[in-house]
Amino acid sequence: MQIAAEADKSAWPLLPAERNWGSWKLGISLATAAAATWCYIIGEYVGYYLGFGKGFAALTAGSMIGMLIVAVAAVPVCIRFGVDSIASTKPQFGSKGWIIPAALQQISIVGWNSLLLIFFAKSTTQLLIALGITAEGETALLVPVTIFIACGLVFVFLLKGSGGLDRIAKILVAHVLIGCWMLYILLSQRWDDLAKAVPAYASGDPVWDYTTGIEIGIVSLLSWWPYIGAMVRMAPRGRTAAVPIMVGMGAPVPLLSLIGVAGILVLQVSDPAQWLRTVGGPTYGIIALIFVAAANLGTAVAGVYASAIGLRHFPVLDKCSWPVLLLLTVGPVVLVGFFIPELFFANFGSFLAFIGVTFAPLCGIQIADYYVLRNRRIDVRALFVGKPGSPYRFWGGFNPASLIAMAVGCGVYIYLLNPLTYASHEPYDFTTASLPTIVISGIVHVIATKLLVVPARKGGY
Amino acid sequence: MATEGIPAELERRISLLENPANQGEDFDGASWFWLIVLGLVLPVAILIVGWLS
Repeated sequence: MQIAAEADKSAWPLLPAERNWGSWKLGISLATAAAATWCYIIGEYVGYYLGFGKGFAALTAGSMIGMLIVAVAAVPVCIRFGVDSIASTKPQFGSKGWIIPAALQQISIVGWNSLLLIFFAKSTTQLLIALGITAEGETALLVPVTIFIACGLVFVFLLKGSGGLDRIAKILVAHVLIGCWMLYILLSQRWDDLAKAVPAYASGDPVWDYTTGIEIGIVSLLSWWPYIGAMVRMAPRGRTAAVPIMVGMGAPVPLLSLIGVAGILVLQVSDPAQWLRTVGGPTYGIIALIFVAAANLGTAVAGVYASAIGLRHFPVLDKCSWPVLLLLTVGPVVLVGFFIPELFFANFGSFLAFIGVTFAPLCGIQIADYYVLRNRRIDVRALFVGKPGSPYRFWGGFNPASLIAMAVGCGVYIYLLNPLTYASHEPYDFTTASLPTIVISGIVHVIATKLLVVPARKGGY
Repeated sequence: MATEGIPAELERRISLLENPANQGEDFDGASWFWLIVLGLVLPVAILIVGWLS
């Protein structure tokens, strides 16, 4: 029992007896992870370009497509061998090259967690000002202190590993219902304004705006790649995981993002703690703040857990105690919250683009490698034993084919959609940037593997 | 993860998982049906309806 209890705090593969999450448990955990206030910011960005109806359609479609891509790329290996997302990249990137997706995972999760906890701290500050508890000029320390307390709670919740994740998910999933209520309030009280609202930054080209809404949906869901492995590895069957993944992790994002779309279109603010106070007074503001706290804590718990498991792959951290590992994972979030909260919050668009630039090619490479090149054959020993001569050792632990494909994929994405300026090139209007990136990265990986890796009898192909 | 002289517990786990009977199950036909419906068919339908609305 002790070994089983410790296994979910390590990156080691889980055995069938340890993988006891059924459909509901998995769905609830995934929904808790996905549904957070990032949805409002995602919705805000879509609301810059599209009205409510088209925004809903583009975001929903993009999100479900993005979820499908992540599910097909990472889940099969995770679910077959009870491993996390990082372990699933070793057949493509090599026994040392996995450090690249691991770095992307850490940057992504630290980024999202920082965003969520800063959002929570700002909501708290706004509410305290509105209630007269604190004054406008006396909030300098409030944001960092709130972030520090939230990080402390995340640390305590996760001391028991995935058990803590499961317990917190069961409680916090209720916030999805509160989110639906908040949406109802806004729609019922401001529908006329919403129907007439004009997106602030619409380009004038309806096709470009619609495609950008889809792209934001896809990219947002590609962000779930780092999270998903640590949770689906607790479920032993693809059949029972497919629907919970698509519905539990894919659907809540567009649903809750509508709150952000509606908020930015009607009230020019996506934070529900602000606009609910405008619409319904301080009581509604307090309910919204509780919602924001519940939503963000649940996601932060899932993110820190996935991030800590990912760190276990580093040899130097493999024997590290679980609490120390959690501190290493939570620490950067505290630092961002203390030193650069405003800078980070103001650059969300660039952060989202970074996700697309990096995770789209990663998914394309994984899909091509697993389904086309390996025909679903994975050497589980080689996932964990990377000594010279083992199949995923390639050249010094790195696979040039995936590195070339990754570089080409990043280049393709940046060509199609500049992540900083949102300037685009054809055929972006009709294809998005993520989808061609995924396809081209996969094709390049297949070609490079057949030209370089297979002739050298490396990679276990 | 150690690259050489792996821990006994990890070795035990790998040995067990090398037997396909101890592995989890990949997506089957029913899984693919739902993945395609929810991740492809539904989004395309929503996009068409959204564009026409």
